[in-house]
Amino acid sequence: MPPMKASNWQSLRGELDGRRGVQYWRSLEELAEQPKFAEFLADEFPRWHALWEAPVARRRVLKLMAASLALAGLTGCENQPEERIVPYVDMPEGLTPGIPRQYATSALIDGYAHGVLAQTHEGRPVKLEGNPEHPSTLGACDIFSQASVLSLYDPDRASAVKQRGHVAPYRNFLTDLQSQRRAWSASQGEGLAIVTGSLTSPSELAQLQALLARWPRARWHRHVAVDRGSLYDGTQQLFGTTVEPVYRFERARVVVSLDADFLQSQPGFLRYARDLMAGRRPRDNDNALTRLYVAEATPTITGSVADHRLRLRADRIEILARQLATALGIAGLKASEPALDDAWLSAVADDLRRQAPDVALVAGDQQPAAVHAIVQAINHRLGAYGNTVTAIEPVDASHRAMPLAALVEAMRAGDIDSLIVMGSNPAYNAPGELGFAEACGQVPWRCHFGETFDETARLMHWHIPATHPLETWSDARAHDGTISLLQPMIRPLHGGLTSLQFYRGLLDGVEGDPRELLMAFWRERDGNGDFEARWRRWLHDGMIADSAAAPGSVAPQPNWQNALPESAPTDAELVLQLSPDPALWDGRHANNGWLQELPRPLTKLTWDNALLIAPALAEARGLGEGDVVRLAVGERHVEVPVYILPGMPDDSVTLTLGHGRPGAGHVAEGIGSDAYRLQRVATRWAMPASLEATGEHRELATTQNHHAIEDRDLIRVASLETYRNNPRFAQHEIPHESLYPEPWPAERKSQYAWGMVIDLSSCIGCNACVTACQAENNIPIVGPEEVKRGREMHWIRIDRYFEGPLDDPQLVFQPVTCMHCENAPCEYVCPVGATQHTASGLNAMVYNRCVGTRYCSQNCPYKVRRFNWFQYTGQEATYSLPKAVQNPEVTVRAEGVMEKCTYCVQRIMRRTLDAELEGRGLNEGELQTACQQTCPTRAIVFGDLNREDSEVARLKEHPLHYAMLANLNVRPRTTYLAAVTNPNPALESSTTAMAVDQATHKARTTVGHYTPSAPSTDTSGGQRA
Amino acid sequence: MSHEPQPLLPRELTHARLTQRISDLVLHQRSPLGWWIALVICALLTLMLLVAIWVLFSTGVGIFGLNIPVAWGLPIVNTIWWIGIAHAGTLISAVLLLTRQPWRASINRFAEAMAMFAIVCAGMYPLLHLGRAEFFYYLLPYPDTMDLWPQWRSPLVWDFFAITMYLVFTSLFLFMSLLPDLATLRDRATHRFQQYFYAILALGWRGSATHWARYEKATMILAAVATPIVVTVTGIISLDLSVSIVPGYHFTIFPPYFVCGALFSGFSTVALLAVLLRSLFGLRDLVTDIHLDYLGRMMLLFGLAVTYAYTQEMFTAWYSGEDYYRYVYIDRWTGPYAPVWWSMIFCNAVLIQLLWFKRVRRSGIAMLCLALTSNLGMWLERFQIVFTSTHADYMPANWDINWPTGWDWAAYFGSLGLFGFLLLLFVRIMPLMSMHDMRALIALRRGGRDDG
Repeated sequence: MPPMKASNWQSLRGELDGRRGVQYWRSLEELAEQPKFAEFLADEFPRWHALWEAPVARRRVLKLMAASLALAGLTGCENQPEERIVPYVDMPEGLTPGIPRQYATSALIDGYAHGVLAQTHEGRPVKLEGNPEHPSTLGACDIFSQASVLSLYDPDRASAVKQRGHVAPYRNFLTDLQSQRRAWSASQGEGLAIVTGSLTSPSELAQLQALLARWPRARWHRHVAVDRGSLYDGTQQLFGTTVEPVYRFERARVVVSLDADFLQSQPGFLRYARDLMAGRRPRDNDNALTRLYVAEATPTITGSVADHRLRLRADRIEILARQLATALGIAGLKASEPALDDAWLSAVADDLRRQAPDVALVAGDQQPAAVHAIVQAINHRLGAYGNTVTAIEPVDASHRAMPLAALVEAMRAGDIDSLIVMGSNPAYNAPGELGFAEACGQVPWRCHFGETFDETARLMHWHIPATHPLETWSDARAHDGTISLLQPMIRPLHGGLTSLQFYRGLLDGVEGDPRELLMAFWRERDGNGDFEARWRRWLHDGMIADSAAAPGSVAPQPNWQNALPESAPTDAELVLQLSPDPALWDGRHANNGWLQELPRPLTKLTWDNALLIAPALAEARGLGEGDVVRLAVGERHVEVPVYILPGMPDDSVTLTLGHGRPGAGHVAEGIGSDAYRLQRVATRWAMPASLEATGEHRELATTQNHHAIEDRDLIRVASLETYRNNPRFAQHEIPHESLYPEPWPAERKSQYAWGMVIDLSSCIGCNACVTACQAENNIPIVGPEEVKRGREMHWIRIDRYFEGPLDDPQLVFQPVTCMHCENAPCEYVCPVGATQHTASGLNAMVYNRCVGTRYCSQNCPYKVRRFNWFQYTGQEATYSLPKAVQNPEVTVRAEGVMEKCTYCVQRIMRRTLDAELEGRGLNEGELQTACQQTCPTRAIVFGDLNREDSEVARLKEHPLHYAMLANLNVRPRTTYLAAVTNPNPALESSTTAMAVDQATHKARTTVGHYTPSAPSTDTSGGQRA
Repeated sequence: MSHEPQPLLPRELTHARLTQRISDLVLHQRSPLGWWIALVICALLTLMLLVAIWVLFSTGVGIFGLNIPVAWGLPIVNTIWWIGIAHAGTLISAVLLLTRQPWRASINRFAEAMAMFAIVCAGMYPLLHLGRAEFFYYLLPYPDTMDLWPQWRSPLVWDFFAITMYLVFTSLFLFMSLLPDLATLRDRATHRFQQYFYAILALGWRGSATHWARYEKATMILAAVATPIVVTVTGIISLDLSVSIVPGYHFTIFPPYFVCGALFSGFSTVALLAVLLRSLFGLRDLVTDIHLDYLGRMMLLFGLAVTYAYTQEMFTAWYSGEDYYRYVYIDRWTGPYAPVWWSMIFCNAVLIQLLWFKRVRRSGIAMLCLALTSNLGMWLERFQIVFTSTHADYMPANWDINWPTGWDWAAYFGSLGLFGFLLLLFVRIMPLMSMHDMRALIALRRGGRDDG
């Protein structure tokens, strides 16, 4: 507000003189009755502006007085939420304290909605499950969604509005914003730049568009660390229009992936895993299995479940794509180099031709646009479009924005006056070459809106905390475009704002009610009447049913081949591939302890990232696991320990992103090396690099140290052909039965007999079950030092073995839970009887009886028991979890106590008691363990063996069914279905050889007895020294 | 055991001189400097043990080198080792008494004391190794309101009783054998305090014929009971391992194998103490090279028995046809713990062959060295059994390495210190040789009867 000018004094005096009676004035400005004062008032108190202006009526005065009197006492209370809360004196219908409730909402996976059901205990969300109705999840749940509950209660979350690092009230921000807005209005937004992350929310997009309409010269930039830009560019080049392909793998007979980890890291991965593996399960369909070919550099879970995996450096994938396209009759693609692998190429091409149009090719998001164009061209040529592939408009609207590089340039040039960063963290996860952080200094007004006070927030003048998705009213779209809703499970713990509120602040300078903002958007969009009922329906479903994007029809442009850029030269000696971390993704989950401690599917590394190198490279450079190397890209370098991963190309190394965050919080502090520092702007995902040993050594926190299966028949695999010839190949003869009579379990008569079957044909090793178990069963995290000592606490683990040649082995996954042996070896050795068998077949742990002799673990052949070596929970723990996240139905274990998988006994008890109270039997499928419920591929089947119609009882009779270590006569209740692969007979590969060997149960000599700490391929001993 | 005509006692030794020499050691002589040095060292080590225990109870059993799959570590190794050491003490007292071996007379007292203190050390570890040591009494069959009893099928319960009984028995046996000597000390003491002290402990022993008759009877009964205890305590502890289904633990040969191993280390420790104490207190004429010779023969006997057990263990692993068992063996030879296995073989099977030579058996310094290596070898044997068996058992995905931590070593060396501390105090307040047994030996010689 402008100060008074001297020339006004005269008129002021005159003004006062002219008045009669008692007159109060608040300031000289008011006295002057300048129009600017009115404007100032409107700005300062926008909400009360109308009230201020309204004439004062007698009735109104009385009303206000009465209200003031009535509300005076409330000032001592905490601010009440503006929405209706649940008053327990007046119990809502159907709510009983102690009974958890489920609400449909969505979790955001890099912006894409995964429909979830949030389980809340007395208004406190503790567990997310997949929403069975939602097309992206179909009831399954991924690790990120599961772990987001922990992030909700993260004490390091942004807790207040901050101005230059100091806590400030939000209204200060609005006041400051006011002058900015005026400036923007004056210049039509010139110099204003908005950076967003991925943007799939229709309502947010509308707000953003409104904002850009208000200030048309403002610039909109995107920054998504792991984006799909090259896919959009590729489809643009091919079809002339940007599309997002959505796959229907259940219709495919042959699937080819070119460096695409679509079972783990592409939008829709849960659904894709479900669809693909449904066609690869002999238990449902044993006459034909979907065949999967994968060509990739870094081994991924997709490559691990493939029938044929081609080890290929990331920058050579494009050559393979060109050659494959040429082999399939797409002319005009230059593929100058000799075929990379003739046999592979022709076998894949033949298979694709034979099975067209029931085929699907997928290209990795980190591959250049040309690969995407070629792959989609092949899909189109083979008739996959409309069958296994549908093209929809891109779900993520941020692809329309300008890239970040342009903004940094403008910032450097001083063209940007105001910078608003929303839901993105470019200061950490932009390519290091870009130098975003330095360029930031050039911008006079900077503001950050996000969930955490992260690296970017620290650079900004203003930081506005955003709500966690579980505190938010919002919407988002799923991988197929389905509109999904987010509703809050809990009042914002730290008073954050939803995105819509923040946009409202930007646009109008006011806060707005988060629910009203969202409803208003949809009410307007919905148009016709009875919106409320529909709204309630949508909220109940967690989404708007049948709102998937309509498939468009696409056709390649003529001569699209010519538009493709030349393939990059591939003569680099060593190529560094950067890839998102399977657990931390782009680094946003770095402060989440569950994810930090989640063993990565292939490396079983926790906490740290390591440079993945091939055994041959390790041998050539004399490197062992944990040896620190200096990895250099151009002038930038990081020092990082190496991890030797068989299956890596010999001339390629891989480093995962998301580690080494300086500003994530206490959990992430000092963990890992920041790979973004090496990232280039032009070629972000694969670049020439060099490495040299530093002579240092760092011990890595891995949960599995031995990688060969030592010819033991723990995992049984055969090819489809073998399976057809000998369906009972997995049945191995047990050498000798027990000499003693078997009292158990015949004497244990019970209504139920719980059992579990794990289908190794389905398991993709994605870890969803591990996180689900952690969330459900209050499993603590122990930190890197304890993991290094072999003390991780996961109740379910996924064993991963390499089979075959050292350089290019097959991988197999095997989830291992407590086997609940009928002749449990743990039970008879416990001196205090702390582990006992229940009548229904559970091997139960009595925590308060346990004294911690650990004899049970010593005697467990499966080693599934976990011990609380220290106080891992509560305040004393190094990594204590917030109490609020703990499932109230599961005991929190104390120091010195053994624990293990219980088959989710709390769920068993709740469901069986519910059924009993209702006087009925338990329905099949009503009771699910946490791991089973969350499994995207339905690999885990749990149920009652006493029921003849239960799926688990049916599978126990299946010819593929076998019990691990059955010869010990421990009679495990958790058993397995042998894996069946479907290799192409035209490719004589290790898979076939392995399968044949497995079937005939011969000793093999090619098993890679592999010792990671030594560069040699030591066949003796076999474990880490 | 053949009895050689060489004298176990100096010719000129009489009742009076013997009694004076032994009792003066306690009552009238000042402690030698070596004793003081040893006591200070042992006291410091004991202090270290106390610190380790304090840290253990305040932070958790995780301070030890333990993990999944190797959830038993040094505490279990040390328990078995200490129990083994204790055994020779009991055996010398009991079995040699029953079989009337006269050479035991000069060494049985400190052998018994050694047994007593070794059991104290052994009994301490199972408690330290518990996750929740404060609830150790859950292993007891005490009447509780929920009718909970221990789980009788678990060898750990048997263990608890075996060790407790052994402790009670050994202290009783030691005290019994001290009674006549305590009376001697009471009578010869000149200080008021010493007189009261030994008078109370002597329980009114007057040396009457009735006393002696009852004493002899009671000693023989205790000795007869002791023999099965020697076999069962280690046997039961070995069942902790062999009752399980872990390859490398599950061998039926374990009870006799462990008993032999226990006696091997026990005799080694007796030899060790004999050499040390006789030089510390100038008793070379009473603890002679002949005694060392006998001890050496016992060491050789049990060393060979242990070596035989090793071969049988390997044979069983091969003959079982079980890949898992065979693998455990191959892993012991070639895996990360291979140095432990080969050192054990070197100590227990190779070095022990030196004892075939009389010169070695009769050399104090050689016996001292062999006693040390044998004890080390037996410790390594327990180490490799406990560590290697579960570190690479059935499922390769679980295989992991585990090494003892600094706290493990603190607790181990601390227990050595505690053992030494107690033993050093014992030899200063109790006669370190059994005066009445020695007198009986002299009497035997005088009587011209040498019936062994």
